[in-house]
Amino acid sequence: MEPLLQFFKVTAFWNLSWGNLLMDAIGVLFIYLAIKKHYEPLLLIPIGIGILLGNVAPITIAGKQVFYMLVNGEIAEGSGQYSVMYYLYFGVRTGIYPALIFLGVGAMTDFSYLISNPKLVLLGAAAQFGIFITYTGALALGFVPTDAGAIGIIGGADGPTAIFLSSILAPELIAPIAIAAYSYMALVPVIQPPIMKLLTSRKERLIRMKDPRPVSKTEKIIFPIGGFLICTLIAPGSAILIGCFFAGNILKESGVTERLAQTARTAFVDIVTILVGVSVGCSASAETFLTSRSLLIFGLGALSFAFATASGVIFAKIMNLFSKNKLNPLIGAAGVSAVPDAARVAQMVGQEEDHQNFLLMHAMGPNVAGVIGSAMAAGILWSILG
Amino acid sequence: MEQVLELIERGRAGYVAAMGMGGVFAALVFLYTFIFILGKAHRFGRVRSRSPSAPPPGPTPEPDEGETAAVVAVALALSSPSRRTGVSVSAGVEEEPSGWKVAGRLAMMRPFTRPKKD
Repeated sequence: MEPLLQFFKVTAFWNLSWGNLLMDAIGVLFIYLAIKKHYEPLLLIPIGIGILLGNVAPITIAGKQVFYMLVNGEIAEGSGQYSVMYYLYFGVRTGIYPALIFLGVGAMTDFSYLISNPKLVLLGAAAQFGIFITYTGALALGFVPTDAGAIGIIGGADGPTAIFLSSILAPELIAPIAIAAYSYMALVPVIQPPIMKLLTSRKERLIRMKDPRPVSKTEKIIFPIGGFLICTLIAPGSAILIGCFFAGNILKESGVTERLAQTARTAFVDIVTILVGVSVGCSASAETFLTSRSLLIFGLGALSFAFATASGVIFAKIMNLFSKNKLNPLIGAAGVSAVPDAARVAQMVGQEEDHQNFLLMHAMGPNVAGVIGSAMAAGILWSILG
Repeated sequence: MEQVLELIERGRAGYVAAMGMGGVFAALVFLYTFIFILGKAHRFGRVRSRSPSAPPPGPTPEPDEGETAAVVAVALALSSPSRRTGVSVSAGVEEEPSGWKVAGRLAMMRPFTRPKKD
């Protein structure tokens, strides 16, 4: 009997808690949503797998130990016996993965939409309002300023930016912040349409925008260089993210580094996405994730998203008061930087009213401006609170 | 309520929001200006490259009879192209379909909605 008991003690069942089981259920839910509902499958599947991995009881004793090896049943912390997850998580802890993802995203991004209609840039700025509203809300709920800043960035709707800033300002909150950010990004088609419809009239949703002008190759090459200089001179804290973003774009637009651009936007960004998803999921062990703070973070994240969407739409309406060429205010919601889902939602809501109204290309302008805006906001928050 | 206000004040919420939104807007307004100037420069460059170079000074040479006949023939052909030549004059200068419209239509054809439950 004794040997049997000894064996049972080394199985996962011995240390399995209800919390671990609940987290496993959340991991399975993520995988289900990704496969069945197609909610951001590229992110939710790695995160779901990571959550399962991080909540296998024997390697999660006392919360963080998925990152350490067990040696004779003891945690080998300090002995140099770290698990492979410890090393993979290094990229999250140090903000390496977000920067690399930005490089890949830059190599995918086409700035033509933005260059052809520059005033759309302002919508990308307006949608960052949600970040600062949430910052205030988090302070009111008792979070310290650094934590509040990291929570606020969820409103930027940019997973890598959220990971980047929380790794600096609130490393212990990376898991709930990253999972909240990615969850809400996956739920963009569910969260945004009611807010967009509530804030616009049918007449406004029917507005057709002028076809943008063609953009030359020279403009596409000069823009990322000028954009990098402008953004980093104003917010040096954003230099890493913005720099990688524009660097990826120069690879694409230069026309002479097609191989590098092709790699950056395919295999490279895919590998980093897998690593970041699994690592973040793994860090969401029951002991660190199932807390009242996580619930508050999820609540504040939803608030942040709603405010970001609303502020983009309202700002587009305000711009229409002063503009000869009217904007369809639905594209203001694309200022949250969930690329390209937020732009697709604008297209979808617009086409519910008019099947011949093509807003997607117009919405891509504020969408990519939102990526720049949220990275800028992260840089500024880092400068002020870091 | 007082406690909440104190927490907000301690976190300098107003200052952070003002600096944050101010910074983001300032950067993107500069970016807007930069793109605007870039566009203007691009248009100016295009107009310059399209404008014909000034004719050389001096008297314009008189066209000879052969040239005049050719010009008249072309003018006649252009005046009723489809009947005489079977080729539409407008074919060469027909407006290209807008790339934006094509891309929008393609995007619309791509299924956005998620697959329904089995």
